[in-house]
Amino acid sequence: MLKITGYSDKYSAHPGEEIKFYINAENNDKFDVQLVRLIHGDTNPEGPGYKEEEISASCNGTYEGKNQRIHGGSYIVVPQHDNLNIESFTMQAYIFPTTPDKGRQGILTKFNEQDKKGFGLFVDDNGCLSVEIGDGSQVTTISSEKKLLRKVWYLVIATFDAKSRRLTLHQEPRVTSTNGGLGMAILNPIEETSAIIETTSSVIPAPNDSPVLIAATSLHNRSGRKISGGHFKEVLEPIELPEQTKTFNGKIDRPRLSNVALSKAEIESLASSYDECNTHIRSTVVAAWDFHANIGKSISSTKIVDTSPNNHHGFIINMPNRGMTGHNWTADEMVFHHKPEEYGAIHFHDDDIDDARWDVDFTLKVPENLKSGVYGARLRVDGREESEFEDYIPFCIKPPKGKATSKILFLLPTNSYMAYSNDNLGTNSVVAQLLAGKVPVLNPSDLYLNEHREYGLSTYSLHSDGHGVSISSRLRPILNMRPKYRHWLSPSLWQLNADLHLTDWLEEKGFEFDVLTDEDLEHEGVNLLNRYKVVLTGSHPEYSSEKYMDALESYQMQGGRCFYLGSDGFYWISEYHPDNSNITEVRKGEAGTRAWTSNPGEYNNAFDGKYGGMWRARGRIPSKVCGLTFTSYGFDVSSYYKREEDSFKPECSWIFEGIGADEVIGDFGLVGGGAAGLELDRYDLEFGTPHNAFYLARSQDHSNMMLQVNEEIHFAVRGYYGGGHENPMVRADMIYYKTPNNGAMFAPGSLAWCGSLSHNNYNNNVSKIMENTLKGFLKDGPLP
Amino acid sequence: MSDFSYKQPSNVQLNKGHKHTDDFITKKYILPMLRDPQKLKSLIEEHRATPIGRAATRDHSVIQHSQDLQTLLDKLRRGSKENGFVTICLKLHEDYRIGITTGVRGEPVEITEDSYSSEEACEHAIFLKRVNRLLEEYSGE
Repeated sequence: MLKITGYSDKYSAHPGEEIKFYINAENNDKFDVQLVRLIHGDTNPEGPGYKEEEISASCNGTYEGKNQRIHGGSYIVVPQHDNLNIESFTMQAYIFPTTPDKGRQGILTKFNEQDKKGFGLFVDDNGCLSVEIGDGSQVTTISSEKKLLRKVWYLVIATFDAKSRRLTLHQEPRVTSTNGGLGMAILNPIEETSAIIETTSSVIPAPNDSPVLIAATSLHNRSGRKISGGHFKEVLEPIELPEQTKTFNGKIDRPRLSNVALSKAEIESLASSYDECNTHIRSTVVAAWDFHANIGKSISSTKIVDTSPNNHHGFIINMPNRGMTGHNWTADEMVFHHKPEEYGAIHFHDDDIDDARWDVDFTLKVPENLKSGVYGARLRVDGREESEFEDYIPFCIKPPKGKATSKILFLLPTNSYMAYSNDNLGTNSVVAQLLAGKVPVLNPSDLYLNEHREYGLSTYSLHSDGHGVSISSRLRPILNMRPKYRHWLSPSLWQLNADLHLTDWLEEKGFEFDVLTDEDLEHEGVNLLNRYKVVLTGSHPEYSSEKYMDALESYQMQGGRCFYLGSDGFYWISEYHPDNSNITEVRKGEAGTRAWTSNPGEYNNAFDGKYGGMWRARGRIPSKVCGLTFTSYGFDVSSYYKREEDSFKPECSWIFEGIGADEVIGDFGLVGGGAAGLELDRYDLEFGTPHNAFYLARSQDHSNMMLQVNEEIHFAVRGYYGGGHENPMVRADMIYYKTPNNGAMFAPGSLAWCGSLSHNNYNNNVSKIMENTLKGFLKDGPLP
Repeated sequence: MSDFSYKQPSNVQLNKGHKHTDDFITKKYILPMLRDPQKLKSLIEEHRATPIGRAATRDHSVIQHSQDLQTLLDKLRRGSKENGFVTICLKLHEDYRIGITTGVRGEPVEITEDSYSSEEACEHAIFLKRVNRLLEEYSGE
């Protein structure tokens, strides 16, 4: 099992800036830190091998390590206040449990699991609704003794009158034609899951120091970890978090807390709206949280509004999903901010995470003269470099602020790295080996993630309740974004480590280049790209924000020259949290190569309110910005290209200088044994490929594991159903086109392309095509 | 306690549709191949020689599995993660082991003792185990 893991506070920094590092030494071991420049991350003995350069830095040295844990699972914290310590109460909420059988889960609690003081509404160990009252020595527990059903809305209520000691519990299904999304509309017999319990409790809740938690209960009332700033910009004074436990899976809508035992009619009135209640009811309300109260204007907000005058506002911790359909969703509106009152639900998950919130272990002040590139903080326990004893925290060092130090920019697709972070699919997904065409190969870090679900998931994963993961934070160790890491889906590498194939080649060929990230482009826009003559993408820039798309298009229009060096690029709409770009969101729509589909009415992003899913659905299909669109995928073996007639035209022949007319191109490489593989793109005149694009080459001879993407299959029919042996849509198209002001785009259309660059000591026809094109693009003046 | 146990669960509640259809496919198309000694031998030899496939080159077309072997692999690969197989890489390019998953999130993967020197060798070893397990599972039918 891993001895060390870590993360940093940012992905990129200018010389002179600081990067903070947060480290978990699993067994409290000392650890060594060494700054390294990452050159080539592929350990395959058939290639150039692993390469890094040790760099002098003030942070290099040995540190005392300590174990640091992640408190995973989302919930709402409402800070402790004496007004919340009540004896009589009404707790009420609508709930939509998604794992009723997983065991005890907090719904609405002011309760400490250890000293048993307070009160709370729970799902109990038998999957039934329960209420608990504790005075520190005794606990009254009442269960509905009727099992809650998965994906059914319920109105749940517990009332207690401290004077009469009368305690009631209501579990009442509320099913409509639409409110369950893909859940049941016909629930029969309803009595199987309905309950009204009336009893007495000799125990009266003792006042405690616990915060009110929604979707969890308190293990420790205080954890020493605080929230403020960033996505908690509405926190006025830092709020100390509890350590939560027994987190709830599912949706909660309109929870309320009152200081008397209300009648059922009063509860129904309050469930609807605090403002519409009569004076008597309002005078009893301690807090009435409407999750939809602030989503119309500010859905990305982490603040939870108490609509009563008591101001017991809360905050969501670990980024559950907002903008979710509520108990009253009619499907009349599909956009949450058009009818927020029907989107009053938050979907909580026990494996959500927004920030590990670890203590800083060391800080790197980036030396002023350090050249831009991909770097890493190398961590080792006992000086050992085996994977269990070693971790790397990769980041990029940028050129000095506002400057370019090279003509070439490599744009590190960090947004896509985040989308794939900690996927756990090798152990979770039943289709993993069908996709990969082999049994998943897992590394020690994959095994560690399997047992540490608090490290969070990827946007290819399902939460433990089966709901798709749409939010990814980089403020946690991301163990599959490392040099040396071999990915279960690829025959070898994926994302960051695969992108080092390109930076290694640039170095070997003597091309100077700067490195910046997707996140930098988000903040600076096209002006950042315009400092460069040529921009290179990574091998799989699949996730892009609206600003990214704007910048990539504008750069080409303004004379920029691009290499789109991957496949399946610019595919998913992926937006940053407006107050913290360390966190991204993607909703997966009704089509596309994806691991899950958004539930009905939940297609719009919470972070910007706009329609989520595929860029093509918003009129920005990738072929409009790079000439190519994703066409097929298969992860067993790769293949080669052959030249097309356009490649001999005077406008294009310079790209193929030194390449024979009938030469097989790229029948070699470290990613599946060929330059065309894993994921392939094609041009499409119907989908906005620039009409004067040149068709340079085309891949062929793919295996039948290589299948067409689903978004273009309207009818599944033979002839266009299978793989490389029968489907002409299964191919990589290499294209080149010119843009206004002497701009240009070169795109070989394959995710495996860069894996072939180093073959035969970097002397091969893939390398030659790249070198010819890059040198041509670097020349001033019009292209041939 | 209304755990619905007062009545026999229906096959919808037990979600038997997929299982029963998969049983039919297995009995009709898979088991006859595995119960034919000559066919089984040729499938195993084909998989041993090329557990995953070979990319096309200037010298040969893509090498992929025969239709029969692919049909068998599709069946084996769509199995449950409960008591499922994974490959564990303990040392890059040197030490590969068979791992057993429980199908329950968070539960450790059991790492077995036999060491294989390559991914492909481990892939083939898992293939043999899966074929034997499938034959045992349907031995009474």
